[in-house]
Amino acid sequence: MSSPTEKALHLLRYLPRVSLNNLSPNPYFKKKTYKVGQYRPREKINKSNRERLRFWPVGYEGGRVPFYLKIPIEEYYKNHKYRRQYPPLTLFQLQLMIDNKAIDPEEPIDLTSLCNTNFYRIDPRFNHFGVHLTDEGCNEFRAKVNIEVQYAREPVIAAIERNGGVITAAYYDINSVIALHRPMDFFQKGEPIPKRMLPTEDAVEYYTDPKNRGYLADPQKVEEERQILAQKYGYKLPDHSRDPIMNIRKDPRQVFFGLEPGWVVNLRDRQILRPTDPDLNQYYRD
Amino acid sequence: MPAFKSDQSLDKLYPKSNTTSSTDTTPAKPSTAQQFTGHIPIDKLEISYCRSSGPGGQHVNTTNTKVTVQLHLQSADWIPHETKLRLQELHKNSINKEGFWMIRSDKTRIQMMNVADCMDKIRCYITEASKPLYTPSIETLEKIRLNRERAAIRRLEQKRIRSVTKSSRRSVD
Repeated sequence: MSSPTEKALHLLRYLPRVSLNNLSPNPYFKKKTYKVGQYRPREKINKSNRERLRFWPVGYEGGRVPFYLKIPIEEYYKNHKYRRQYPPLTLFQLQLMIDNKAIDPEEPIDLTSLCNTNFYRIDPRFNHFGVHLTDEGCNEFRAKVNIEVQYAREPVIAAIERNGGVITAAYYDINSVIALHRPMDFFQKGEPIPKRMLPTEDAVEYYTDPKNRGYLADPQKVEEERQILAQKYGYKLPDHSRDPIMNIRKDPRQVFFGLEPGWVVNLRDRQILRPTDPDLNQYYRD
Repeated sequence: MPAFKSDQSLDKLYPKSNTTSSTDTTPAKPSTAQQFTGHIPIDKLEISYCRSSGPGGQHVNTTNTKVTVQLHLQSADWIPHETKLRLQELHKNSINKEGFWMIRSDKTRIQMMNVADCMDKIRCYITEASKPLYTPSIETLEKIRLNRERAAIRRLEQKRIRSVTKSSRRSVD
């Protein structure tokens, strides 16, 4: 035909447009890459005491953190990325939600009810394991509720119980939290409802303590503690025997009210599929 | 549909405990005329609220955070008689002519916590008043008597010495 140049130009007419995604690096101009940890020559720009025959400041230990700065060790944020977090919700906000009919006090309240209001949100990706009910607004709180939280202190427990309500502190592992805080998104996945795991070692003490109204605490002792708290804060304890709502509690392995672990909720066909295998059923009850 | 019960359900963990919430709201150890157990019958108390003093701007001016708990001392059948007498003595400044003992608290900014403070005060006062009066032992009384005697002897000794000094300064008549 013709010269190589002409052949190349002829080809160009049929090739795609040159852009950044169809260029290849020039094999003759490779930049040297250093692996992590490998020695690489670095430019020394600034001169320190070392280069000027001066004395280092008192306490200098050759570059490592000196003793007088290291001690005392204040590990407030150590492993903060791995520790459980409980975003706070005040009693005032809770009362507001109830007054604005975002939450129905006639039904038991748990993390799902709180997240469904869209006023309170948590994100399990940030290690949010549930709700921490705080005591701001404890005096203005007037609702009678059966509420399940993940952490609550004594004044909060007193504020809820003096209005005739019931509060329980319950633990949910991260998979259960993911299911619980956005149930519709979870059901759309088509996964079986998980078996809620028991609390980790550091949390067992909290959730088995009747003073905290832990869900794994002895109910008899919880009743005694209710009496003690009523005496401490100066209110009369109501009788719950005539109120069936106040006695509704989840099983320690249950994630949703009315649904068992192992069930698959089919939103499309509006069905619930239950496992029939006895071994599987036993697993979800162990 | 039976409720879901796993191996960790409360009736399996604590088989002897009743899992439903309290049906019996009477206290385990109520206070009687024989002994004060620490239990205070709340319906015998009268709790009233008013505004607190001190700084705080609009909040302190408008919210009723101060708590006054009134209880009629003589008609309280849950406090032993001797304790009542001692309370009358110790807190005579808080008991009015009609016989009502007024316990006030504006310790915190929250009414609920001030009520708790009042309850704590009542419990502490009654417990203190229930304790037996301090009677000094024979050894203590003897020690006090001897100390007083020695002090008197010393005082008179000093007086005598002073007298000699003063008289030595007077001119000899």
